Amino acid sequence: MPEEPRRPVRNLSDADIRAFVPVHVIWELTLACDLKCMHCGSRAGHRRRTELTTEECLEVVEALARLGTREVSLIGGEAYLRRDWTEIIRALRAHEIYCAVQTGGRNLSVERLQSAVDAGLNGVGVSLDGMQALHDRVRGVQGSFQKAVDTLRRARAAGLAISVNTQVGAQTQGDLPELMETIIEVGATQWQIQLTVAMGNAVDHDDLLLQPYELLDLMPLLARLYDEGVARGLLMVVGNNIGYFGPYEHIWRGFGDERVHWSGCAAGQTVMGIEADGTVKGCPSLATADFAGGNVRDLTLDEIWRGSAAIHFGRLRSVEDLWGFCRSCYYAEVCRGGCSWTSHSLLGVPGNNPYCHYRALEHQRRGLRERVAKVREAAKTPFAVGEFEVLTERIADGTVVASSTLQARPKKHDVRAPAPAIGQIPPRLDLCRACDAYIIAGETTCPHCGADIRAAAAESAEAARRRAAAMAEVERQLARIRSV
Amino acid sequence: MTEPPYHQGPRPLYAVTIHHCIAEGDLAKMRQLRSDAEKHLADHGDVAAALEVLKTEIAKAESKKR
Repeated sequence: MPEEPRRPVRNLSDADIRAFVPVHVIWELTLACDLKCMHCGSRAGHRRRTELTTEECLEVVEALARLGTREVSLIGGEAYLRRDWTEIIRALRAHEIYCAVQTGGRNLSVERLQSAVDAGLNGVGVSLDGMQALHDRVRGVQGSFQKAVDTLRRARAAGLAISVNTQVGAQTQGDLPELMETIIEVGATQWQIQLTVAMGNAVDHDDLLLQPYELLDLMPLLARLYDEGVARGLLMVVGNNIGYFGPYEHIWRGFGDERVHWSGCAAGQTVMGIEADGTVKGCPSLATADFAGGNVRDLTLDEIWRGSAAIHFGRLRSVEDLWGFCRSCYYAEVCRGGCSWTSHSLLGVPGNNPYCHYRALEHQRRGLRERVAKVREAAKTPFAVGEFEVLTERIADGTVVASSTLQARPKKHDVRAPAPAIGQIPPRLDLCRACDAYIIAGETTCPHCGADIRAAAAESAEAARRRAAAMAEVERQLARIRSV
Repeated sequence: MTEPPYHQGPRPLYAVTIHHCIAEGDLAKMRQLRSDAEKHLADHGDVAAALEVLKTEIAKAESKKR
């Protein structure tokens, strides 16, 4: 069994960021799939016509090792539907790259799982999108919930790290508390929460999408479950499109380390996505049409990573690329519009993201709310986007007061512009200790609650001192008892 | 709490989530200590007073979170 790392290998050092190391790579090994998910962005089902051969995959592994990759998530479709998937796992592990597979778990049989364990697989993430009735309906296969749970149990019994990813859509909230009980019961220790994004099949089934104003109900529920989970050994991981800078940011983004906050999309900087035919993107989720940086059959992986403008878009982005509400947001410079995939899929251009708790609260404060409405269907190709409109309406009477279709959009980057040679370390925000909202360093009065920042910090420091003293005394007494 | 020579890793949405991450911060540590202390409490009453102080601090920290 592989040795367990002491902390996530995905954590980034300043050196990783400055050197644009693709620390975490998400690799779609095949688009073949045994589920029929109503929200699948890649429209998985049949394998791509020109998927990489085993030899080509092994060359990719060598290239990733040279680039300094430390973790690879194998995805699909279903990665296990490739006969050579264990060969690829073995090659990754030979370079000590942490390797885990994200799966629906329908046919990850005892034999398949054991062969992956023997090859050195480190972990398994299973997708559970609700309790049985909702999950089976959304995943398009009766019995898929039970298969997924069985896979989790088997993977845990095999000694693998196990986790769950849950997509939250319009129908999910009611299932979340019971789902958490199930996840704790099977012994998973991390639970990633993410919003269903308007791509591929989810555009066809747009009733599955959460409305942005529904974040006002969802986020307090998630915060409660986060808290309960911590106490019971399950850590909720809020995904890249659970955003941003609302009242729970200081609790969950850093798992209690309040210095950690959202710091912008990492696509093409420390994250890479590879499609089964060798197409390389800055993030696996992004639309292929707009974000394909090249193909490993045409260029080396290093050439694509270092030289492709479509990969580099994130390295060049600034406030100039934001529009709509995000453009003038207090957090614009740090946030940069949240998850690029979410906003690009919705509106065709990143940089204006209505799926933001801070934004929803600001609108609510003004008596407004936002909802999305489909304007155009998506093509039937993998990772295809449609088009949606963000409508701002008065809560009181539903009158629409603004539409994203009428807002000025940023100009596209000059694709000839060279990417910066050195990555920028994201700025760190301070925390107002009176209201627990993040503030730009140097503020003397909190722009959110009006508190005196220094006075609130002093009071907080005194509370921290009391906590430390209380912990020290209990630790001292426990140590004395244990030594007897 | 670990000094940050590191930044939290990204959480792309088609990927496996971050394995081996753990809860940080005073509240998580205090709760763990409370759990440890309560296990000993039945046999060792002398930890009770310190535990009460700890519980008070947990309550204060929890109420501030909400």
